[in-house]
Amino acid sequence: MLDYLLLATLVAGAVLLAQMGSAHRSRERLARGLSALLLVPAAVVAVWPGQAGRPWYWIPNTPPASFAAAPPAGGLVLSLYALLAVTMWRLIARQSAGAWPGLCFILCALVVAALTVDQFLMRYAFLEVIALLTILAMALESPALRAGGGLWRRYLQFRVGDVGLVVVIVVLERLSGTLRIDPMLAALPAGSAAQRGLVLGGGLLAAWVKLGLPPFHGWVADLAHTRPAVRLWLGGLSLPLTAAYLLYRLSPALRAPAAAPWVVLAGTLGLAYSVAQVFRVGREPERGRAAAWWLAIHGALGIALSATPLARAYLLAFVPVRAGAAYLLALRPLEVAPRVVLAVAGSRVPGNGCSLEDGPAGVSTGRPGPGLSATFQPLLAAASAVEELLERGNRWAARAAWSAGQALQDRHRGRLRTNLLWATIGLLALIVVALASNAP
Amino acid sequence: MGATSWLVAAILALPWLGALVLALWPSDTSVGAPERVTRSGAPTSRIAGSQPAGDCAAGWVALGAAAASALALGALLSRGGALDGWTWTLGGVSLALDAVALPFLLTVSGVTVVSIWYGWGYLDHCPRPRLCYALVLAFMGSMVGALLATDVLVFFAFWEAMLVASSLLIAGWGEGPRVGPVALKYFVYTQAGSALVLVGLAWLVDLTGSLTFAGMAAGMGNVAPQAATWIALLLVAGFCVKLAVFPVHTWLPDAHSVAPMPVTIMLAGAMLCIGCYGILRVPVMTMSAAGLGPLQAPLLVGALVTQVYGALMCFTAQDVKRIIAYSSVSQMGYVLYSVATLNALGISGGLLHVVNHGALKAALFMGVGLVMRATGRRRIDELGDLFRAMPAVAMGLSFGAVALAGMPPFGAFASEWLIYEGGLNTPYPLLGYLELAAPLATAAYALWFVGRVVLGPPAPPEREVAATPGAMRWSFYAVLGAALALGFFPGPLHAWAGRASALLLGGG
Repeated sequence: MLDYLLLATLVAGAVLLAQMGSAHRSRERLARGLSALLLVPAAVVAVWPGQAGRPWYWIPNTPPASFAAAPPAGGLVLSLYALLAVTMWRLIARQSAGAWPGLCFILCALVVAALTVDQFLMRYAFLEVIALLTILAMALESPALRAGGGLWRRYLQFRVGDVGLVVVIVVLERLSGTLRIDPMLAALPAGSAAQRGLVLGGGLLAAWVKLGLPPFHGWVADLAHTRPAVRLWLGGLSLPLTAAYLLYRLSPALRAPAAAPWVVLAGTLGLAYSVAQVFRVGREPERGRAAAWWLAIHGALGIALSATPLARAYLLAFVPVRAGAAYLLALRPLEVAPRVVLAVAGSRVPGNGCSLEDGPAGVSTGRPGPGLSATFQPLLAAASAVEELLERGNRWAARAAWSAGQALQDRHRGRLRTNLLWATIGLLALIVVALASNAP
Repeated sequence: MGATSWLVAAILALPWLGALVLALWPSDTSVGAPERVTRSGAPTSRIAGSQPAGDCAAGWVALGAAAASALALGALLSRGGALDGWTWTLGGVSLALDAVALPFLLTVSGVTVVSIWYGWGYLDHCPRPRLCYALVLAFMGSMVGALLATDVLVFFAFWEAMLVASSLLIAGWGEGPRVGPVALKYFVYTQAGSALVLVGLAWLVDLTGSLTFAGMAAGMGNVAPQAATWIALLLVAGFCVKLAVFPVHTWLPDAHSVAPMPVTIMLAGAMLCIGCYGILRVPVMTMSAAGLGPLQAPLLVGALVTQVYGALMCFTAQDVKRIIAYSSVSQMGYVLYSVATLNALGISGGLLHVVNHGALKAALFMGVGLVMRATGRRRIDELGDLFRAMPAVAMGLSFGAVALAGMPPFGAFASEWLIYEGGLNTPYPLLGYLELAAPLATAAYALWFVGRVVLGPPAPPEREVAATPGAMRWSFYAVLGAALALGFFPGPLHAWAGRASALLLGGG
């Protein structure tokens, strides 16, 4: 049933996208509201216990994937569809919702698929598509973001997190011999310290990026330029929820005595930094950027709690907490914050080429942003120098060959034909002599 | 000889027949203005005016010959079977199609058909279009011949014919002021690579006493291990020139930038991979994978360096064709890496990647060609905000670029995954983990390109975007659709790739 639910959601999203810009706006608004409402009971039926998913074959040399809403994923699925219905009904009053309703349906389906699929490589594929859809939605929702040209860097940051996830998948597959998630995770305790470290490190990196924690929070801050519903789904729910679910699945390993202190420390550091930024940004009334830091606080808390028995509670409360926070942040500007002077203020974190406070460079001023980060320039200069060296070698070889040819021509001027004739006769003679001497 | 034998012969003969017909085609002798023919409504409608009837017909002949060859291949595959025993023999010449050649043949056929279709719109103002189409078919026929050859003489003859046809295409129809020097550089480079291949093959023939690949494989027992290593080194070095691996890649960006777009598509989408085929056919299959053992680590490292270097150079180029050309260098690093894993997973992934790369690279160059035709610009700092001006082409370019970075559901995702798996199963797992990070470089330049060209601010001065020929647009969409289909339905291709890797590694 879950497969049909996902297909129905995707089809509804595609139909809404196709109807985008239609003259019958009231009909379109009603359709989106009703579709979202009807999907809620369908979701209840789909996650009802006792249902087996059908196998889907796609990637060669991998086991088939199926979708099953085992707890707590079932609860997450229901809350997502409930929130979808609320979002669509709140959008009914808007005259023009653009592509967002259709994208929201598709995003919901992809997130549910990522949470419920039982094969890790397929989950990774869904996460990739969600990341791409996030960037696409940001580009469509905000012409300023599109014009700034920095969205490609945000997607690249997502790919950095994906490297961590790929490491997790690869190591667990080598440990367990399968790509099915449950046996993979069950095999983790039997791995060596290095393997467990790779898995936990990769998983934390993936979760850190998807939760929008510093220095990878820029994409959430960019959402300041979008509507609250978009900010909630993109920055609050889609990738962050999948990250929280990943942390929950890894939490038995994260709670190990060797790992737990480090995980809690990382979460606490992220939490402290985010809190400091909330106080700093709170002095300048800007809802969107403050929202990014509030979400980062919640995300960092999740990192810290993943190494404790509270991981499940955190996950179950994820959707309601984020939805509530988004609602409150949309209502009440954060221009009033405790005036606490902190040592950390307006600092720049090197590495991703962007200021922690700004979105893509040039978005607010309208200037075209720089094409590349300044830290990347020396590497490019080195590569260009190597290429120039190779080209110089080519030119030297070409000049040498040309000079040799000219010298040969000068030496044989007027006698070239005769000399060639004698050379050919000599070569033939050598061949005859060689054949004759080798004859039996 | 049965039907399968004649189909094998038809796959090779039809492009050459088409080339011959076009080369001998009498030129228009009418006095005054040639008869104008316009097409409207169909996907091949020409926006940029009209052409003489003879040139239009030549385009149809070229497409027909290439498509007929592709259909012959399709007919052969539809007969089923174990991809063995599909041979054609006449006198001393024998052709054979096996699982190893099949992915390359699919790529060559498909890329050539869409290139010619694209060329209907792109080449509408070029001089001597009939001769151009004839050489394109000769280029295709040479690649097909090299893939179907069963002995070194036929293989090398078609290998050289490939070089001659492509050089003539670049020299005769290249764009820009540097056509002559670039064509010469391309010729000299690839000829140098051919020389290394020739020496290696001659040495191998001498030691094994046979001219056929099967005979050489049987005679490998007479070859000392040290000699085998030297021969393998010569052959790999020679084939790597064609594959455009660092540091013998410098011919590629120039040749791709200067060549007319349909030829660039064939160079990037089809011809580059023939170098990979050469490595698989001779050092891996004929000499056995064990013979490449001493070279495995250097090849893996070289492949990794090529991937990253090619990606870095994308950022330094200003010409959009050159940027995509450097991405080809990077992608060939993936292919070389897959071959160097010397295991079934890696090689299967590499063979899948050959086909996926062919489709995606063709799509990228087609999209770039559409942009160049519509805007009249080719420098990246003169382009921007194409999403507003040409939304369909911009979306297609974006999908092509991110697909190249391994984005599901496109086929490159599955092929790259198999390459990673293969890399981790080598005696050098550290290199395998480094390979996991290499796609970041691909993603970086792909996303940077999309960000600058599709999403960035419009570059002044503002110019009108001109209409583009339907043939260029529809062939672009068709290739994107094929790339998507390869992603959703990788099963058949993967089955053939698995069969090929079994053959290559001696599984029978």
